[in-house]
Amino acid sequence: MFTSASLYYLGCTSRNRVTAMVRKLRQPKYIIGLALTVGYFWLIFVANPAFGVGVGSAKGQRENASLIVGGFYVLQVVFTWFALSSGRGIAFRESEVQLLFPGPLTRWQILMLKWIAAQFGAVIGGLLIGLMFQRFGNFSYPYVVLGFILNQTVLHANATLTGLLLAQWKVKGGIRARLMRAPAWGLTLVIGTSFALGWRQIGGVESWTDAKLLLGTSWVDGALLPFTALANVMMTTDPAAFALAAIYPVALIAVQAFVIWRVDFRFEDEAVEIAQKIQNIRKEGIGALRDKKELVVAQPNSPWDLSPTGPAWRALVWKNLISLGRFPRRTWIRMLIIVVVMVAVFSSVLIEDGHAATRIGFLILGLLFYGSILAPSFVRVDLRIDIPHFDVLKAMPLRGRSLIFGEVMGTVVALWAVQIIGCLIATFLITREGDYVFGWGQKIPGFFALVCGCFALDFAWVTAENLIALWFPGFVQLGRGIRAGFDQIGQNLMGALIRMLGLLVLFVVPALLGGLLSFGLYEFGVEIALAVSVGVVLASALLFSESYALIYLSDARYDRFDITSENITESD
Amino acid sequence: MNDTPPIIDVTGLTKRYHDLVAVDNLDFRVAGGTILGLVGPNGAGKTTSMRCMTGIIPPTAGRMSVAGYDFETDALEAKRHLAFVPDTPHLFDYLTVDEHLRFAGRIYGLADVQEHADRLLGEFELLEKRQHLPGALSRGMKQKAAICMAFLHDPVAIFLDEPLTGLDPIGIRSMKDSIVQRAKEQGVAIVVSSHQLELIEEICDEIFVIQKGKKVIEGSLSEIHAELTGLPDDPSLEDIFFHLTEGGERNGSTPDA
Repeated sequence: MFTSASLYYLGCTSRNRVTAMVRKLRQPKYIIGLALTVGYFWLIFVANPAFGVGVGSAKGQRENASLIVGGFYVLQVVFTWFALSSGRGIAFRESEVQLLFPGPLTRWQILMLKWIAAQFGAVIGGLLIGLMFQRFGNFSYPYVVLGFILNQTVLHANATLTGLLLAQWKVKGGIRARLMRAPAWGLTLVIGTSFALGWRQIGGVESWTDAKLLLGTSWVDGALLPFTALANVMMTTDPAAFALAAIYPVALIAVQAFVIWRVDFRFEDEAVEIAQKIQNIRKEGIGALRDKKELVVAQPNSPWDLSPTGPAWRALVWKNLISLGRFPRRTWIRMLIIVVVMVAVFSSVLIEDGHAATRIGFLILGLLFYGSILAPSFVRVDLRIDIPHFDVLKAMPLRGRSLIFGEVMGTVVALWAVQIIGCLIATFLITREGDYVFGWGQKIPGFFALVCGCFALDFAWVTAENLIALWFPGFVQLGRGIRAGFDQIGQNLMGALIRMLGLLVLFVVPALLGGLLSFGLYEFGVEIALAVSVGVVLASALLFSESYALIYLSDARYDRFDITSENITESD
Repeated sequence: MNDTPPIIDVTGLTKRYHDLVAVDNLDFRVAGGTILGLVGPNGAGKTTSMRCMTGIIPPTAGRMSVAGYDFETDALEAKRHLAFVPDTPHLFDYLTVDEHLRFAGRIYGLADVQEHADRLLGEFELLEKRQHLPGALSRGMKQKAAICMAFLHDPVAIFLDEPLTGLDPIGIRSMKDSIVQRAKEQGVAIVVSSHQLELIEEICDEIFVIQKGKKVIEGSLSEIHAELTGLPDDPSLEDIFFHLTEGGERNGSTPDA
């Protein structure tokens, strides 16, 4: 009964998922997105001559592939163990909890059903990995696919057993509850130590050949063996070799499955909890994982007090700045660490010669520019987050241009504040380059131009992001929820292309006129730093005006915007 | 029907999505002090109608006005006088309950936001939760917060889509009292869309039955009763609803006629 029901479930869900995927392709955005995704992967894995060059001996290729796959499995196991070390148990979905748990099923049967449900992804993954392996040559497609599926079951069983075991430790409390991270750290330590010992054995790594030597040392080879042995099953080319290589993964599956079946771990309480969390993450994004204590604001921490009257757009800026300030502190700390590490690493490379402070100053400006380009895609506290709230906002007496301007300015103000600080630090640090000394006569107009330029750039960039959300909502991620889907990569690429194109068009006139002004001033004898600064200020003003004109022109689009007819599914 | 001038005036409201006609030529008026119950089966077009009437989505055809302000010519003024509470409240993730009200206060240009906010938060028992972010609120509390936000500017027309979903018994009671009090004491025109027929029967003066986007029947319970044949004596709204939506006859004619 159970087996037939499980197979029926697998058959129906697989068929329906494929049908849904094919049906989605009727919409242009999905078919274009898929085409771009395929093109992207083709460029990376097929057209790219650097990937998997089919040269060298069959043995050498097998060793390379074995190390790559083995390394991937190491990472997967380490990350899984770390993820499970909170004792959260196995990731059940709300539907599984509601529909399977009350049914006449044993725990083992529920776990089996989860494994069966995972086979669709494993088969699709295997088919794709098989294609990638073709690039290495000398591999048999069917055995790569079968080996991959088999190994996925090994990893699935491992994750299930680890999840159940650690959840059990947590429930029982005591010393075991404090040691839940020990397996993950233990494995990391073993792998790390083996690399350190191997490094010592070969006397350091300075080239790719050295790196291969390191991987071949007895220390590293021994530590990775449990994982590279798994990879071997994918490298076979005939039934007998496959059967022989499959003994190890099958044995691993059997042992782990036996333990799971024999112990019959309780998992219901954790399953209910994690199902709710997963549901929340799908709706609200990773922020849903925050501790409940973080969701109570002890002290109002608004950047400024909102007076009851005044322009409506300022209320939107106020709202968005508060929202930004309430991102989990861990996120800010991690970002800060990344920035500090980047500055430190680049500084150590760049300041070998020349004036150190000046180099760091230029480095900060470079990072600011790079950050300015990337940040609007990450800082999404604007229209992109608020379109799902349109049922509330559109019923309010707000003009479209006022709403869009307010939404855009929230993100812009936050980015600009960071940039001003960065520009200020850079202005102080930059003092001389070679024989040229930067005096305050150059630095003050330079700083002013940079600040104006940053503002205009942010405004244009964020406006572009927001207007694409408004005009082409199907091509951007809306809300905080997580959108899965293969074609999503292509849609993101397409969105990026549209943005780039739009911005290039926006930049033409300001850059031309600003450049002309700078050149003219310079020709009239104005010092170059001042001439360039004045040109940048003019270009910034023009860029801002153009961007605002686009917002103004989108007023009618806001009025006509109908989320219900846009074919948007937040979690498709 | 009430003879006082209507606060909500809808004429020929139609909404099409390609070939699908979600709302088909609806006409109705709601006077101040009247509560209109919008009922119909799933997919009848209730939520789409509400969204059109509140200016959230543009209708394909038809005219709507609130407090005399036509959406075609003066949408902002019309919106200034209405409030909408959606069936699933989506609050801003990183604003506390209190900040939601202050934000709404600024949008509507209210000078005495805090006073209004305190009163409403007290009425809906949210005072203790005013510093909480939505993630810390239950569904019912989110619903209450959305209602407080909607009532903040003392609208003259209120549109409520499934207003009792997720509320506890105390919340249901205060919500019902609040709706009735706003209609009867403050003269607000209210449209309530709900599947809870007992709620509609209890608080609504007039009922508007919609099916497949079209009006089936409109009027007070007694007027509808008088118009229909084949109903039990002293029928409930549930009897009437099933009679109409399952193809009963209306004085010899079909319900959709």
